Amino acid sequence: MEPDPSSELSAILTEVDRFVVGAIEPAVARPESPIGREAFAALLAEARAFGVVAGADTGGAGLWEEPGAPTRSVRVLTRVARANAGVALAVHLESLAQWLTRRLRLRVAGVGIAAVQGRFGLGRGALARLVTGAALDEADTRMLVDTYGDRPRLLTAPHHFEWLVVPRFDGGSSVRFLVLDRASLVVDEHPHAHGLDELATFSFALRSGAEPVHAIDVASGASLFAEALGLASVGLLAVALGAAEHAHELARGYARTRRQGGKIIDRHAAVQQLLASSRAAIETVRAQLESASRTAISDAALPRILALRAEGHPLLCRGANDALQVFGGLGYMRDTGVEKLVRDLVHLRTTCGSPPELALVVAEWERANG
Amino acid sequence: MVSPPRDALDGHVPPASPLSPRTAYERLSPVTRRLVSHAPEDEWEHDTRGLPAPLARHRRHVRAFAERHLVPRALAADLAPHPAPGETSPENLALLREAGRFGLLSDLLPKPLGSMPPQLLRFPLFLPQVLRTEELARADGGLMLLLSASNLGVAPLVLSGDLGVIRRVLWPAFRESARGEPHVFAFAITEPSAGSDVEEGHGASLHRPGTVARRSAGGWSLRGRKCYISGGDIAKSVLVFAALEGEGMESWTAFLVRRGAPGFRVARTELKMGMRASGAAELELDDVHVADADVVGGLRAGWALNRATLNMSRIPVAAMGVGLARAALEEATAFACTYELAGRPLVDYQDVQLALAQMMAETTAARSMTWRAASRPQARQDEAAAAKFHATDVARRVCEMAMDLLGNHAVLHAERVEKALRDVRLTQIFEGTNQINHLAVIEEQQERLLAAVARGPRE
Repeated sequence: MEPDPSSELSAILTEVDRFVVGAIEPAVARPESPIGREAFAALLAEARAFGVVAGADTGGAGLWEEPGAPTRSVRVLTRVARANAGVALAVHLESLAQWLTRRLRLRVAGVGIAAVQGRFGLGRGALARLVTGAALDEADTRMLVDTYGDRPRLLTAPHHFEWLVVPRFDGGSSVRFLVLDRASLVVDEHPHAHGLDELATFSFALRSGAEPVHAIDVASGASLFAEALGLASVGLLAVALGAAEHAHELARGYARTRRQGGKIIDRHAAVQQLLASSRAAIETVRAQLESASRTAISDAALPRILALRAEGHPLLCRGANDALQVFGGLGYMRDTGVEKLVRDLVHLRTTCGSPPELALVVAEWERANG
Repeated sequence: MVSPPRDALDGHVPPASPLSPRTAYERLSPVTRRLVSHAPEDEWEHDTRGLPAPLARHRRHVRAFAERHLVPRALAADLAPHPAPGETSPENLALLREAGRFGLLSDLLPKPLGSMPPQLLRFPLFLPQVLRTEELARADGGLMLLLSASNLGVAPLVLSGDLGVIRRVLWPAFRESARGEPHVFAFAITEPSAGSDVEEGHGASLHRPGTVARRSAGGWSLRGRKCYISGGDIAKSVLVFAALEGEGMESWTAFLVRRGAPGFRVARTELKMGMRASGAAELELDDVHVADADVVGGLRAGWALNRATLNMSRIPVAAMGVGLARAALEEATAFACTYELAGRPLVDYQDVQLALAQMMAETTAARSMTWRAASRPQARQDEAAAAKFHATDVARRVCEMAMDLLGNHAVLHAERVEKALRDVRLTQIFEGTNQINHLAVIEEQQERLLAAVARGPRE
């Protein structure tokens, strides 16, 4: 008899819940004091051992390892992000690196991170023309070489990464993938980035004279790149959804106990509007994300996913801001935790294509496809 | 490498083209050209030149101070270690000294009592305040608040209309500041159990006061806690609002508490999302004695002074929003003009031009509303509250647009936009959350609305 997929998913989520409650939540309990580097690396190692992070030993249970639609991964990632967006993003990027290297038929030891965004976003409309196989003109080529060429790129990731897998465009009509050992990179940390305090924002470039560990040309490089971007984008939105859900829960909890104007504040229309707006943002994105994750993430799915991100991230930012507003002055204080969620959401919104750029890619995709 | 000069942005004809407004307008008659103009100068210069001379001078003067003393310190001040309660960093103290000498701690009153140039007296009080606040906020939100929160504490003293208080309290304090010994005031209304309830009448009518004054020999004994008090950590004088023992919020009275008074303690300062250069303090009052002479405005006058102060300060808070939106806009513009993608500056791309134009329009609209509210000789609650919530909501939107424009670079602290976004978030909360400010508009319009209700239901 075939196992019931919904009960299987439910069992996995229960297990993930155990890990979240037992390991992640205690480690990130103080939002004003981000978890230290060593403790974070240890937490990720625990996640790897638990099987959340994709890898050789998970038997297919890790993130982005399920065949077909990534329903399970999206749900798992959202659940982890509800506890901490930084942990969830690290799990996502590490699993994506595993997914990508598996597709490239590589085995790379150590902690890898997929860094799929370009120097500045994604390469605007030229990206759409590249991945749809449309003819690239000189301006497109210049844009893609500038975006995915030699120049330093930005990355928000855990400190402890050992290698990166990155897309590379040198002209033509395809994309290569490079695996770069950390020792071969010039890595500059930019301290005090906006959100995701557990992680660091780096710029990186290949050291002069250094060579990639692997430089892989595949016949369908552009298509594989589109798939990787699709998974990266679904993951980013899943992380954002979890963070927004957390902000909403915090606001609801506070609104149930705080008394102003002679009554508990969740009975005031002003607060109800904020909570409803936050809830509406979450429900809208969740419904869209669940729907998108019910089919396999192919290159053809990319415009839908990017459109979803273009609308979804601003919605979730608005929802989390509404949640913060419920707290009044308390929401502005770091130990309350909700301001960090707002920052995390803004950080995710600008990563891997900000909403206006994503909209451009979608429009160009439609144009390129007639 | 400096790029060669360009004669046009992508998608536009060069100014020298006969199809551009600059060149085409030259064909119009001189009379017609008085009706339409080509104005390539920046908006700040344009607006400043349109102001009456004393206000324009004031705007330029404060901008120069902000450029010199705030801009270079902004990022470091944001990252400075959190000081122990009641302590100030040497850098902040040095800035306060400079600001005191410059007159920023005493400009609610004209010379010789305060530092406001007498030429500004012929304008509504709020106009110079709005100009000054926008300039400081544009330079840095946290340092702006460090230098501006004092006026919130000064306001009830001025509004008390008690010349004795002004002579006995404000004048010497302002002279101290002018000598480079900053005398900061703070305004303490919020309590752990009362945020909105101390900012609007309906909530106050149902609130049981947390800070209470009990009669004692020659004065009053204050007990309670105040929280989130901007500048409360460094203030030498704190206006503490408390109810009289056994009475409700109608008995609220403003008491002047000196730093160092027995029983007064800065219990903690908050770790905040932004505006980190300015402390938000929790103040503990454990039987603090206040002499009768230090009751400001008379017993039971505190509620009126509180409401009047809030309505005065909401207009400068709107200006804070405008200043922070302008900071984000200026940073985004600079980024768009200097960051190249595929060999072209970002500003060449049409979507970037659209975003910048939208941000310019939003910021200008918020400023117009703020200046309108500030142009009244008397602060009107509905106008002040509406300017506050609208300008600060717009400002956050502009900061978010700037973040989107900078894309993945927006998260970098050095780019300053993310800081403006963190700073601006507070302006939607203090001086009453924006939700409370919406209700303040209706409260002010209540009689008019009730009159309409009295005309009866529609058929």
